Amino acid sequence: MNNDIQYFPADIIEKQIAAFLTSFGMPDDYVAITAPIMTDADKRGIDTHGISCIPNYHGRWTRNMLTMDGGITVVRDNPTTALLDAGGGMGYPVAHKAMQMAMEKAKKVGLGSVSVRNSAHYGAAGYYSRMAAREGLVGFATTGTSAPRVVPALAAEGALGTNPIAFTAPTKRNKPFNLDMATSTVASGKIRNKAVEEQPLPEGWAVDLSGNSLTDSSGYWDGVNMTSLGGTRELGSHKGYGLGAMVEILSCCFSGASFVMSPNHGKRTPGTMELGHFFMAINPVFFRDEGAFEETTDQLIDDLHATTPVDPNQPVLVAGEPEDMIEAEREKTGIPMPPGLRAKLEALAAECGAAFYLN
Amino acid sequence: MSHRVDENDVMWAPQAVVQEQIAAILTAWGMKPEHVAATAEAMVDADACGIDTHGISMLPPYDDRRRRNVITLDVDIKVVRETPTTALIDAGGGLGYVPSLLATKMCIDKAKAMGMAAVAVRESAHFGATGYYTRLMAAAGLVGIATTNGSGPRTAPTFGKEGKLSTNPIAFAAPTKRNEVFSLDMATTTVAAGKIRNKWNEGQRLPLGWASDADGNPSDDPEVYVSRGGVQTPLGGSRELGSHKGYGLGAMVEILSASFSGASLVSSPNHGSNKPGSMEIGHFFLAIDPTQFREAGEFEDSTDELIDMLHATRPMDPDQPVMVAGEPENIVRADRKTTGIPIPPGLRGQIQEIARQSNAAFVLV
Repeated sequence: MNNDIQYFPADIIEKQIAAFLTSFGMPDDYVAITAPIMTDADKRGIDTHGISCIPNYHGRWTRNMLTMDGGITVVRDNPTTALLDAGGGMGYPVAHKAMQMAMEKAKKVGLGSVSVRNSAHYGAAGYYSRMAAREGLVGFATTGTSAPRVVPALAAEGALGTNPIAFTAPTKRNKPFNLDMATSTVASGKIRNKAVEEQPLPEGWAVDLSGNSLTDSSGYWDGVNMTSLGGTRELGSHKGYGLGAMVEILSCCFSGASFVMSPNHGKRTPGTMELGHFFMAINPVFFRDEGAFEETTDQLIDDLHATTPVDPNQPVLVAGEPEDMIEAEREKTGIPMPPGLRAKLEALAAECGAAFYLN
Repeated sequence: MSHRVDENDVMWAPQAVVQEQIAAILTAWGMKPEHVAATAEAMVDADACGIDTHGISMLPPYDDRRRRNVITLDVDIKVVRETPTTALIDAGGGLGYVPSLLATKMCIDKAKAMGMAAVAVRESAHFGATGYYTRLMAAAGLVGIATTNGSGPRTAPTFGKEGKLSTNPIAFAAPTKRNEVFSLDMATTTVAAGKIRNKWNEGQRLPLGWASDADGNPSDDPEVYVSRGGVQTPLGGSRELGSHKGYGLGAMVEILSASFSGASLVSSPNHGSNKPGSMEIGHFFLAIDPTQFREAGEFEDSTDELIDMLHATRPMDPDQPVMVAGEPENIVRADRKTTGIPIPPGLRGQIQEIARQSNAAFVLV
């Protein structure tokens, strides 16, 4: 086995993802939407939400937790709102359709929000809010999740998922302002990485299964939960918890999806994880003259960039810029493929009869 | 009639009396009678639920701003743009309560007719507790969101050592049936500035992560924030604990509040003093009608179910059950119905002096 990280052009990664999805039985029109969105995460350095999800999706598909060819139904459709049912399918095609519908409504009547039920993982939330900003709209997206691994303030056990919020605002001079954040302090992958490297955990990242602060990363292997953003009650974890609950309400109460902490969540009904999502678009020209919103947002970004940095070598950034920088870099270098993931994908391709392009 | 004063010289005044005191002073300052009633009611509501930083204690800073001509008490509020789903309101440089109540009412009416609504407000000033407006939307059966920008850039972006944002709060409320409404109302900073001041007043150290000194180093000395150019941290406290997320939320609130309305950015060099008689603060309000998505009552049933499950979460300390957003304030509200609202002696003295100078009745006796 080649132990080096190999770099592949984005189009090869996309072709590989598409080959897997097709071999799982996903229809071509869904593959054509899903593969580019997953590849976009890899392009932007969100490596947890790109091709690395394939083995996980395969596992859920073989355990009949999701339906690769789930039909999308428009359950309700009103001038500013809609409710979609994903038919137990992967979240990407339905999320893409939902955001498109929210955007069309916002273009016509100023605002649009679309709620989705009966869905599964949809990748990085920020992809959908960025769709809106590309067409001059403010975009907003949230989603429910599969595992209750985030602990509410004052609680000993997990009750919410990482419950992400994405918000994107259009600009002219700068790249769009693009916030895409879990409402937990860190993603579980970061805790795992510390455990793998046998490094201590910063206080406030994780708690053990009794809710006690965990700084010895070896505890990861016995099971850990994540803290709500803020980390401790003293540093405001009740706020991160409140935001996580808000995301759960937006994603599940509008749609009627399953709560992450409900008994048997994700396993109750064969063929569906019953996840919920929420999407919203707002049209700035309903409030001010064309271009004025973008002008103010650019000014804010310029003001923030001009903040005197603590370290002269680390300028102040705005949300989305770390990903923009990685995207520019990976356009040249290609997308890094670590050996462990590559080997897993190679074996999986052989098992599923999918072509393997990562040679 | 005299109100109970406890051993710490704190007066416990009935809500109606505190409201009367606020109204008397606002009237003496020249606010229109129809604006006084709504403003006093909103301000005293903050006191009633324990948000003591946003009720009657705001009268001294309002007095100061009025004297410096950065706010205007007697204003005309104009709806500048209006569509079936949206509106833009010009608050005319006045306090934020009345234009924000108008924005809230417009959101409620439009969302009930159209499913969703959003209203932006410009040329405004302080509007009290953000959650007041979202709770009104939830009481009308709608999901409400509200944001505002602020007056002082005392929050530093991640990696930055100077303040560029204010505490930039966001509020979100969702209707329920069995439980009180879910009501999140939070600054996007680690703590409110008032909490740092309280530690300073009491001569206590700060938990690390609340504030940084003027060089951007975390500091446990409240003096660095109060008098030495220190800054507040965004929620998260440090980069390692996710302050870039709190910073991102703060910037999102700034965009919602200023980019939609055309208000002044907190980050601009002359923010709050560009224009005599106006702080040029902006607000944003949004309402969504849940019956657009599901049958009437189903959204509320789901939200109640979520709240019940969160309440049932195993607590760290059996004597401190897990709560949901809004409950700490509900508990204080129930308490203060019986005890009245505490007015500490320093504040009471300030209010007495303001009443005397403006020829308003002083009823906190």
